[in-house]
Amino acid sequence: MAQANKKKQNHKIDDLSLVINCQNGDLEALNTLLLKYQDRIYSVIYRICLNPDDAAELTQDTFVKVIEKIGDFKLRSTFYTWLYRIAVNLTLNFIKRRASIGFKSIDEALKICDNDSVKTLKSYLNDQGDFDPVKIASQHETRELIYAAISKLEEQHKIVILLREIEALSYSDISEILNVEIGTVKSRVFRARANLREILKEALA
Amino acid sequence: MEDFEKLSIEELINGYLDGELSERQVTQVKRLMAHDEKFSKKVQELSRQRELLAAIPREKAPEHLLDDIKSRLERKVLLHEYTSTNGSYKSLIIRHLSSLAAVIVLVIGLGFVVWQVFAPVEPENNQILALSNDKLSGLNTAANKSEVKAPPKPVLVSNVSDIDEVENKSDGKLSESAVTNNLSTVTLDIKVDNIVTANKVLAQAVYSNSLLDEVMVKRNNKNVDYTISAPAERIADFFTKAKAIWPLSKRNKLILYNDSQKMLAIDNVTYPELREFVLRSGEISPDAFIANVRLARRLDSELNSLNFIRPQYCADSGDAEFVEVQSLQGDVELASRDLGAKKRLSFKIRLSEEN
Repeated sequence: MAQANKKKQNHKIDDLSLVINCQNGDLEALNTLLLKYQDRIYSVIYRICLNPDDAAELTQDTFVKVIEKIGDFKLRSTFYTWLYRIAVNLTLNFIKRRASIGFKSIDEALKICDNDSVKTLKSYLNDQGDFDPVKIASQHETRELIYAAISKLEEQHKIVILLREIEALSYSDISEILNVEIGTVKSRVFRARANLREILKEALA
Repeated sequence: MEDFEKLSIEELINGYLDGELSERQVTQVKRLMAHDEKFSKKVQELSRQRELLAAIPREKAPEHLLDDIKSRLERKVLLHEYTSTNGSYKSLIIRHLSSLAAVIVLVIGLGFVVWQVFAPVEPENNQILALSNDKLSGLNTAANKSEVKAPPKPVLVSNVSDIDEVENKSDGKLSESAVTNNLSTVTLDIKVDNIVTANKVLAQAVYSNSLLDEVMVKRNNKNVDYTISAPAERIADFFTKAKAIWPLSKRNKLILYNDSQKMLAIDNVTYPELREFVLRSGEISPDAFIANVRLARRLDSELNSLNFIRPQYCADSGDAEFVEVQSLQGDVELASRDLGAKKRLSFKIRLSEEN
C-alpha cells in the first residue's frame, strides 16, 4: 500500500515537472505527456462512447484542448484529473448531441461471444470455480459484453464505474474530475456496482 | 430506519471492497459473511465483479493519433489568428486599423496629386478591357505559320472591385479580364486539397531562400496569404524552391494589373510561365505577358516551350508585338533577364482549400 502511494506520488511529481516544462515551451515534455496518457484517455473515451472512430476523434479533441489551455493550467489540481475532466466532459457533450452512440446491445454482444466464454464469465461472477479474471478480461468479445452491460447503466453511474473500477482512480480524484462531493461519488459507485451486477446476472441467465 | 440500515450495509460492503474499513469494521463484515449466506454471496459476487473490471486491459489508441493531433494543431495555427489574454489581439486590431487609415490617406493624397499633374481629358479605362482573339491574332505571326487550336474566348468581367469576386467564366485554360482597380500586387491564387501540406512547402521555400524579412504572412479562417516584396530574381528563386506547390494545387489563377490598372487573370499558370513572368517583369508588360502565355499555349503542341517566343515592344505605342520565333540563348536575353531580375516586385500568394 505504502509502495503504491509512493508510486502515485512520483507519478504526480513527474507530471508536475512535465507540465511546467510544457508551459515553458518544451515540446519534448509535451510529447512525453501525450505518449503517457494517450492510451488511458482513448480507453476511457472509447468505453463511454463505444465507437473507435469517435473515440479517436474525441481523444484528439481532448489533447488539442489540453495543449491550447496548458498555459492557463494553474497546477492547483493534478494534471491527470484535469485531463480526465476535459476528456469526460467532451465525450458526454458529444453523446448528448448524438443520442445514437454510447449504447451497445447486450444481445448483440452475446451473439459474438462463444458459449464457453459466456459460461466461464457466468461461473466466475457467481463465485463458482477458480478462474483468472485477467484471462477472462483479455478476451475482446468478453470485454465488449462487459462494456455493453456498463452502457446500460445511468450516465452518472457509467462514468463513476469506469473511473473507479477500470481506471482505478481514487474517490477524491473522481470527485475532482466530476466536480462533485466525494460522498456523492461514493454513493454513485455503490449503486453502480449493484446495478451492474444485476444487469450482468440478467444477461448471463 | 430500514433505509438507513440498508445504506449502512451498502456502505459497509463497498468500504470492504475498497479496502477502506478499519480492522474492527472488517471483522464485523467477516462475521456477517460467516453467519449470513446471502450477505456473503453478495459480497463475493461484487468482489469478483470488481476484480474482473480491474483486470480489463487498456484499449490501445490508434497509432496515428499523435500525428493526427499534430496535424490538427498545425491546421489551427495556420488558419486561426491566436488570441491571447494580455490584450495583444486588441492592439493588433488597432495596428491594422491604423495601417488601413494611413493607407487610405496616402491613396487619397497621391490620387489627388496624380490627378492634378496628369488631368486626364476623358476617362477611357473605366470599362472593360479584353484582349480579343482578333487583336491577338495580329500579334502572333509565328502562330500563323502552323495550325493551332483556337484558344478559349476571353471573358469579360465588369467592375470588379475585389480580386476574390473575380469569377472564371471560361471553361478554357486562359481567361482575361480587366477592371479599374487600384491594386498593383501580383497575386497567385492557389486552391489546394490540404492547406497544411501546401503551407509547409511555401514556409520551407521562404526559409531556405532567407526571405523571412521580405515576407508578410497573414492568416484567417479560410486562407493564408504570403506577400513577398523582393527583387524579381529572389522571388523566382523562391518559386524554384516552392515548385512542389504545383502538384499539390488543384487549380490556380495569376492575377496582375497592367499600366492602366486593368486587372488581368490567367488560369492554371505553370511554373515555367510564372518564372518567366517574374524574371521578365522589368521588361515585359502584363498585357504582353498575357499575350505571350496565350501564344505559347496555342503553340504548345508543336513548340512545347515558352522560351522560343519573345515579344518586342514598338517604340511608339509600347504595345507588344511578336516577331519571328527564335531561340534566345544569346547575350541579349541574358541582359534583359538581368534587367528584369533586378526589379522589385510585390508578389502575393494566396493559399486556400478547395471546398
